[in-house]
Amino acid sequence: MSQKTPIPPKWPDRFLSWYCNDRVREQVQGDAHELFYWRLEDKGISRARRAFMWDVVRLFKWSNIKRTNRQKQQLNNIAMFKNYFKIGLRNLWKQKVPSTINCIGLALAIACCLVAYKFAERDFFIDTFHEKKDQIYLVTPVKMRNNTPRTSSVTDSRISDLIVTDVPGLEAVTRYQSTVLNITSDDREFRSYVGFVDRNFFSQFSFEIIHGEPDPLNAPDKIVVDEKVAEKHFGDQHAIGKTIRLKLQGREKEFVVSAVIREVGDFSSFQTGYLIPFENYKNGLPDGFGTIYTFLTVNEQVQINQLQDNITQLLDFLPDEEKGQYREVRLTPFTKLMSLFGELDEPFAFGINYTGIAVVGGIASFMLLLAIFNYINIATVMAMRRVKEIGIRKVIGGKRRQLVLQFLTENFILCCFTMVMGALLARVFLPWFNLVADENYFFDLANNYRVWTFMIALLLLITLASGMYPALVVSRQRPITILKKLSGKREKNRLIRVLLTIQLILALITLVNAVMFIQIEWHNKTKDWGFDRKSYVSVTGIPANEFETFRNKVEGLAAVRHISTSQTSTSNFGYFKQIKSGEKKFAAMILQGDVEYPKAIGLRLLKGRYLLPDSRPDQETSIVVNELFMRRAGLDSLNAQVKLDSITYRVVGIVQDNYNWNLPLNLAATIVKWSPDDDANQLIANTTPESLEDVKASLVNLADPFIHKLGVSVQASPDIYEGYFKVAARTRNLMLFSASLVILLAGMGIFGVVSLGINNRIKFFGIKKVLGASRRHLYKDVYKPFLIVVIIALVIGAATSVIIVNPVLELAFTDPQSVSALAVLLAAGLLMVVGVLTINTQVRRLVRLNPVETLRDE
Amino acid sequence: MGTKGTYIGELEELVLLVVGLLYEGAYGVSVLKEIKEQTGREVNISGIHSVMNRLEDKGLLRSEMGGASNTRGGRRKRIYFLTAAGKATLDQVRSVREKLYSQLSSLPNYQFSA
Repeated sequence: MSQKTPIPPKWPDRFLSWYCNDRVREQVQGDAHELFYWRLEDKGISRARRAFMWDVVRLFKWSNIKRTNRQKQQLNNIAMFKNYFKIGLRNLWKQKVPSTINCIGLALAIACCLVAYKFAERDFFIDTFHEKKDQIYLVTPVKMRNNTPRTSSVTDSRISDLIVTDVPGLEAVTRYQSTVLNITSDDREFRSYVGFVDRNFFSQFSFEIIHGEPDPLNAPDKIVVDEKVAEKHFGDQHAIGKTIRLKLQGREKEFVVSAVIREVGDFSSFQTGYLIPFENYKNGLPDGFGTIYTFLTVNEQVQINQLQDNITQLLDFLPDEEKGQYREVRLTPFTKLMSLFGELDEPFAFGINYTGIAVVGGIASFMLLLAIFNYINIATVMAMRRVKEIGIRKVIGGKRRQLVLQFLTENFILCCFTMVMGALLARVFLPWFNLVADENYFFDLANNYRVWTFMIALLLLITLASGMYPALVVSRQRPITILKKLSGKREKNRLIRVLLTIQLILALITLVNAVMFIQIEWHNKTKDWGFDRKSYVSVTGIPANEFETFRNKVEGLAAVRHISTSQTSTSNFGYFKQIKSGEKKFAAMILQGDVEYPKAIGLRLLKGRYLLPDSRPDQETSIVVNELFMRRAGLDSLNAQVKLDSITYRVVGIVQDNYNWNLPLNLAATIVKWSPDDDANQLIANTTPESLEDVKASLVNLADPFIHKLGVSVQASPDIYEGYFKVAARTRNLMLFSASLVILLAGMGIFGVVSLGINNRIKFFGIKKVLGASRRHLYKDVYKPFLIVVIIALVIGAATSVIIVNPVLELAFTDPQSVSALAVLLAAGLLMVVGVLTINTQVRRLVRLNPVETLRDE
Repeated sequence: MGTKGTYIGELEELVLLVVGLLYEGAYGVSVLKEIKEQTGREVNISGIHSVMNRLEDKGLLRSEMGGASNTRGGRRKRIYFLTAAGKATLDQVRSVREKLYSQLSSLPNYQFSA
């Protein structure tokens, strides 16, 4: 034989040992090898190799192949899992405190994930349960608004009437609108949304009728309610045939319940608590008024383009001046309404809240990551205390794979338990989250297979993510090392410290984030907005023919300093337009009003003058702009010329930069432009902050004759901006909540590691105490390993928080601030305090410890 | 294997005989080699395994794990032994065959075709 003994071909050999059943592997492989060497002498290397490969192929047969479903093995498995289960439970019980910490931490994170899932779920699955959803289209007319075509979701009542009677090729036309009404039954009064729908609503949209007639809205005085409403009104009595009174156009009207439908909660954009026939809505409308959602159910063979043209032709029936506002009528698929939210005016569906989902989902995954790190850390330490068990299992023939499986099974048990806890916690969190997010989520585990799928996926994920590492590390131990107590402790400690460091870094980032959100929110609330946001009242919706009289009445009020009329609505401050100044082109916000407008909202004039009250030419050709506008336009002096809609205007005044409600707190280049009184639809009355409430009350009084009309509203300016602060406060609360959770998790993480560390070395401490170690020594011993971890975590955490939090702030605020050193210091300080308090509880336990207790059993 | 009973095939008979011959040294490869030497037939190892498993199921062979050798990479062999039932079957097969053969040779005028 040559220097190197030839061996059977490697890969076929591996294949053989892979597929071979354990029972026969030894003899089969042995035979194959022996034959190889026999042939080697007989016939040479290449033929021996070839023959070996052939043998491997021939031996690949049923009786030799590894199979898992042999009956004997299955029986074995049950016994094995029973054993794992028992040992797993015993271990959990033996190490109660760390197990509990692990469970609670993970359960909190799971609860966050479930809430986040709930938050995202609705946006993606709303309105998807209708069987005919692919056949249904919403009529969306394209109208001109401020010279730009905008697609509206609602149709004029005259058009929708014509569609019902004149358009061929439609399976059904279903109209819908909803409004808040007063509802009475049994002397109790509610205010709630009531939906008005056509009779065929239930045949076009898949709402399940639980009780009552299949065609429930066949008479004008019938009403359909959902389960929840039925229970609210009638308790456990049968609702069908009972009456509910609604206040319609100022008169009470009686309706008879004809059906109860299954509640779909957030999963429908329709308000389905109360549904009454559509006639009731139309009868209350003035002619030509009315904004109605008109849904068409289209037969599959109909051409949508042709249908759009047919409906567009119906516009000819409108009076000429109204017809001029329309471009055309389009049809928007029902299934696209969520994603097209931003492009449709008066939207039917809410739209997908991508930013919200990203923020909430981000927080939840952060929590999960933290909790899993926490878990891995504690689980590894816990498992390391059981190395003797591992050693013995290995010696009596346990394979590594089996040990990993054992640990994963135990972990699975714990995770299942945690999942249940998490779901319960989520139920506790949800009402609170609803309050913060102004939503109405609830868990309906019974009917929602999606939640179940999500929970099972999450369970598998956390079982593997949290259990794999400890299982692998522990099962890697060699029995000889374990049983001889040659422990490789140094390496393990390093790993745990790395994980703890990462955990503290994540905690610090979250804390810095929360501190910054609080800081910016507070700053935005208190800073100067560049105009008087606390001292005017706005009235909108007064009919054009009454406007002058109304204005005269307001002028009679003593407390009012300036009155202005303007063309913009309360919540919408203005609109953007393309501006030309010399060669420069940019977008600027246009605010339109009369001469008094800048004074009424309290803009601050820096240079020049406002428009002249008596000079029409001045009003038509002059504008007042803000400082940012001047910078953008590259202008530096008064009397400069800019072009807007091909008309040239002269800048006569410059005001201080003003923040804007529209784009929350964003600075925009702004033009204040004159507009004639007859276009006005808003009245602004400026007063002193002290008399604001009085003025508002007087204006409400004055507007009372019109208040029954749709759309009249009287709002004090602080209330208008209140909306922004509510949103900001919600976000801040969310960040605050996640920060508190993170502190809790970090605290629990430190606690777990410290207490397990002490327990592992309890004899060491006992001996130290016996030898007279002082309190100071004990503190030093416990703190020493953490010092380096904390320092590294704080340094890296501070750096990464600057890198990560700044982009988040830029996303969340249009006028963000950068992460300040103070915020980082504050967060780091908070984290340190939590850490010190946690560690101290453990050291105090050590100080009180009687060393005899620890040393007695040896 | 019930219905097949004690009927055995030709290869099975061969293997039974060889296992008996080899006495304590009968395992897959040695049986294969012995068959080749004694009869010149090349049987593949997978076939030998199947036959021996089948015979063990029928109770004609019995097996236990035996010693290892270097060429097997330290793996043990499965050694097969002829059981009493195995020997009885061989006897029966032989007697049937001889009975039939003796009748063949007692036909004096038979012309064997080419």
